[in-house]
Amino acid sequence: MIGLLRIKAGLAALLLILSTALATAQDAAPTIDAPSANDLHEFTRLLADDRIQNWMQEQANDAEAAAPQNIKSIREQLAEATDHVGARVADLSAAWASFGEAPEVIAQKWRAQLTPDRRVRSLTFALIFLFFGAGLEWLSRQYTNPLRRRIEFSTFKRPRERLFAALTRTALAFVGLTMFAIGSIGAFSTIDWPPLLRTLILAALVGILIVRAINSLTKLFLAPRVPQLRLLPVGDKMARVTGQAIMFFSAMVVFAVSLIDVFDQLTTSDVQGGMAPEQGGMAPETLSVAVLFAVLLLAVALLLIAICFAQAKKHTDVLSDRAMARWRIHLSLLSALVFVTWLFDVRALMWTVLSIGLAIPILKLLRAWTDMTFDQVIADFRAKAEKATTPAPSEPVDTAIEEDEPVEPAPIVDPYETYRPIAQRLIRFAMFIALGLTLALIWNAGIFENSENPTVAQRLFSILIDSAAAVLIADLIWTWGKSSIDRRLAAYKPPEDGQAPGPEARMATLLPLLRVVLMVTLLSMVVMSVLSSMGVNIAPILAGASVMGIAIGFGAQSLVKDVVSGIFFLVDDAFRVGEYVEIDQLRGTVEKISIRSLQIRHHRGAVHTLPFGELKSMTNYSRDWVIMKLEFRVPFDTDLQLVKKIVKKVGAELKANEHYGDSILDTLKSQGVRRMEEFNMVVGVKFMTRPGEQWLVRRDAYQKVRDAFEANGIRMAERNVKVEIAGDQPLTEEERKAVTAAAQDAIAQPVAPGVVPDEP
Amino acid sequence: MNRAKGTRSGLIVRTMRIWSGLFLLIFVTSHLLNLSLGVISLEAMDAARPYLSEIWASLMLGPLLLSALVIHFCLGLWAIYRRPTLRTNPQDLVQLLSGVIVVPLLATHAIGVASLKINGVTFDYAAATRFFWLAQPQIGLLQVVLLSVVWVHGCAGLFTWLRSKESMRNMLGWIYPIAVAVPVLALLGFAEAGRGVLVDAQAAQRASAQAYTAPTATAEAPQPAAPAVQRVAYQTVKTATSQVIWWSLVLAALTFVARSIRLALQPTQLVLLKHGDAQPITTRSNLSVLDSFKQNHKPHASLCEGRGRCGTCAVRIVSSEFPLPEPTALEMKTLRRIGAAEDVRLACQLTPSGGFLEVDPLYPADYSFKDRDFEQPDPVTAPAEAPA
Repeated sequence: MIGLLRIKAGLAALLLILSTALATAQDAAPTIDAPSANDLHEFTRLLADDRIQNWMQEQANDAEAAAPQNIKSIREQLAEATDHVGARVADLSAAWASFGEAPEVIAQKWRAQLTPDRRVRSLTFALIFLFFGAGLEWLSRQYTNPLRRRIEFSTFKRPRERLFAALTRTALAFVGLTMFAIGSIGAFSTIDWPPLLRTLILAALVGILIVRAINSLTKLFLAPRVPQLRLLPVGDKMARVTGQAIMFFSAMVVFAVSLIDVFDQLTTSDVQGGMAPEQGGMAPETLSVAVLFAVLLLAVALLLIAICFAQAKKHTDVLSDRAMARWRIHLSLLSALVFVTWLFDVRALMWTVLSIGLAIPILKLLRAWTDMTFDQVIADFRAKAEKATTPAPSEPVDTAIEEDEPVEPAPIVDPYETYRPIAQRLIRFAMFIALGLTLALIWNAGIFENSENPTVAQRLFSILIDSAAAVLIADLIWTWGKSSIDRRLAAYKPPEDGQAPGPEARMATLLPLLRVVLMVTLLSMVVMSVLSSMGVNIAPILAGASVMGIAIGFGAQSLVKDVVSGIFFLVDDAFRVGEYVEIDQLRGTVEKISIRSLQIRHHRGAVHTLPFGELKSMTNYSRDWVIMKLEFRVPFDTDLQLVKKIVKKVGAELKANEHYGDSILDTLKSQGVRRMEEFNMVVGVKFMTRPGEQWLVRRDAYQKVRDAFEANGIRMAERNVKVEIAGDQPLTEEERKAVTAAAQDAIAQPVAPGVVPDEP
Repeated sequence: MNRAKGTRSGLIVRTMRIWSGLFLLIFVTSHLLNLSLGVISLEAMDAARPYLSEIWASLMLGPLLLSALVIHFCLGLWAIYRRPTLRTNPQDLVQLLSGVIVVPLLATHAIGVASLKINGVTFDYAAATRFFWLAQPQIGLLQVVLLSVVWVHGCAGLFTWLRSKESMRNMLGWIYPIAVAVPVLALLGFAEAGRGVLVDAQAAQRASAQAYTAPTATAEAPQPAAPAVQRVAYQTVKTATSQVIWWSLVLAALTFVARSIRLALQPTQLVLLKHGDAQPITTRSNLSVLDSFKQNHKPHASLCEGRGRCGTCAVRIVSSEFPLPEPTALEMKTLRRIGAAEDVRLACQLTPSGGFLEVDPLYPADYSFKDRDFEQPDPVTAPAEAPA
């Protein structure tokens, strides 16, 4: 409604613009002259004329008088309805009084209208038409049969294929039905008929057609003979019984309705064949027959419901006994209510009760159907996934190994489960829309019209429909958003200790935020649109909200800055939870990312909290790879080829390590002599690992290289002093002391300590 | 009882049934074509009458037609008597019921026309139309019913026969429209002629009402059984007709009774039938394998609806607890034609004597001869490729 209003407003605006444009165009165009002085005189004379004035007055009065007639107060409407029901009750009592003679009256009218010969001949014609229709249908079936058989006999794994196959099968049935209709009704309508015969034969043909159409639809859902095309989750026997019950009942309804229609025409038309003026009501005789049929139909409906539920109790275990009893009562009550409302001729109420009463079980059935479909899809998917992951156990050795250590099968995450709520919402949404439209049509609420003075019912309807649509759409979007966010979140696995988190880790931060934002937005939008459809002026609320928003925005400027820059840092993927980063002077592992700030823990335990707004630049030590260089000091006489060989061997050993071997991207290798020093050579080695693994590898590398050097007789260089003594006589004690002291001095030279890496 | 001899007769019975039926169908078609000329005019109908309808009552064809009808009817009753089950497929049921009621429906028309011919009354289409639409509309209605029933019965038989012929697979699509067009045109002709007669009668009635107040009955009731020279009395015709109706009905009823007695007396064994990977089905030994499948809603290919013609219901016997009965001559003929291996039998002819039986169908359930245009290996001649 609001949408329509908006569209109309938009159209009006467009028209206005167009008209002004046209007006300017007209101004520009010199072809149309201004009215002459003579015309204006004539116009004023006419306006001053009494007759003209009187006429205009009357028109205005009439318009005034006519306008309020359209609007009836609730009291008047209620009174009208009561009168209607009262008249109906009077009719019913008249019908009761004439109940005994009804067959006679109808038979008499029947005889008067149709001679026996005519009756037989019309039957002949009807048979011929039926044969036409049946022949055409048979013909079309001969060509579609191969396809139908193929559909019925093949197996469909996927629900989509199955649905498509079931729909195709029904479409084929409807093609046949259409051919039947073309053949029978088409042939019928080429001939001119007397009115009564026309009604009679047409009623028969249309009745057959409707019953068959209902049958085809029932087959679409129940498919009693082809279990694999059945859309509803019921068993073979149940499907057959339900299908037959529906078929029988619909046939009875169609028969009763068309028969009463014929009777109505019989009793209201006079003998000459001309129709009596339409008075709306039926003759008491027809009414009595109609009531009789209605009672019969009610009894049959109750009986069929009882039979179906008795069958259901025997053959299905989907529903509990309690639920079954509840549905039985629901359907029985529904039939009774429909009967009562029909009896008192409150048609709108009857259709409302019927559509709402049927919509509830249909909703349930559709839900069950979606559930079933999803279950099947998921089962299929699982079966396929399991087949893919576990190879067929062909050799007994394999099974023995499996028995020894039972491998926990990885949980198979199926991609369909999260779509289930969306599908259910969608179906419910479509159902509600359909129900709303039906009700609107029943009550003739005119939701499609934009009347100036809407009646109470119209207003109520428009409010209800607007609100329902807003809520349903919001619900749909919310379910979609929530389930897709949840799906992403579910797919995210928190990194195990010591492993670098993947790029999806930041989503774990952003998505909950997004979810809250979505919920708040949707909620406020729904509230707004419901309020506006109820006629509350939401402009002040919106204005107030925006003023508040601006105020809060100014007050919390830095907070907003933090949040916004945080979002961009996350989008940039600058850091993830568990990574080792450096920001200005602070270093540590990212421990927690919130909306506003980042917490990093120093490897000595201190926790720093940094608002995102403060971050200018940061260094991430945990990305992709790390190169580590090590140095060994060896004496000058070392065999460098041997060193190279040993380092290579150690590298291979490290790579083969089962714990961290996989993390080594480029294993240990010698870089040769890096520089010469005073007393020794510096041999450089380096390796590349994944971030976080380098410490462990370094530890082992040192250890292994040292052991290998020792085993191969390579000593690490030590600081030593060679004292060269001239002459060959032995040193005295004092001289030896002096020499030692001098050497000590040389060794004790302060060596600048190397950089102690600050590392966790 | 000598089984081979009995089964040889089965082949003869089948051949006789189809050829008598075809002969009758040709007659019906020609008669209906004559009727369909009513779309043009009554005169056209009468002009074509000697060539399309009268010829069948000639000295040579008349007795032939009558004997074909009697043979076909009796063979049909025999088939009903032999049937182990009536609940197989709807088409068979339609064919069976329509076959039973054709004779009672036909009696009035056939005997009436025959008696008129013997009496020397010319019963042309003008008279017939007046009779069927004005004098006796009930009988007219009966003719429409008769036409529908006969045609449905004939088509059911014809197409079952044609579908089992591999060489006809591309022809069928052209024959179907003809099968619809012939009766529809005939009915149209009948209705059109009737409408003409009715309009004429109304005009005459109005004219006669203006001229003198004579009863209109004489004008519109040309009683056909009131000829100048009456060799067969009207009463005799009536009794003959009703006797034919009653006797044929009694015969049909007796057949059904005899069939139920035969079934009640026949001792049967339980049969456990396994079909591919599906659960084994429990059935009785009086049912053929095909009937057992159909009764349990297991789809199985069979183009000729169990008449042992097409060979599409062939199954390979995987295992059988007891030795199976030898194939009859009828079955052997078809098996030989399709070039089947030793262990292949026709499901429609194979009636296991009891116990456990596992079979493997050779053709998919929705098989038709059209599929042969697309496939290369013949599943019958290449049994080695069957899935283990």
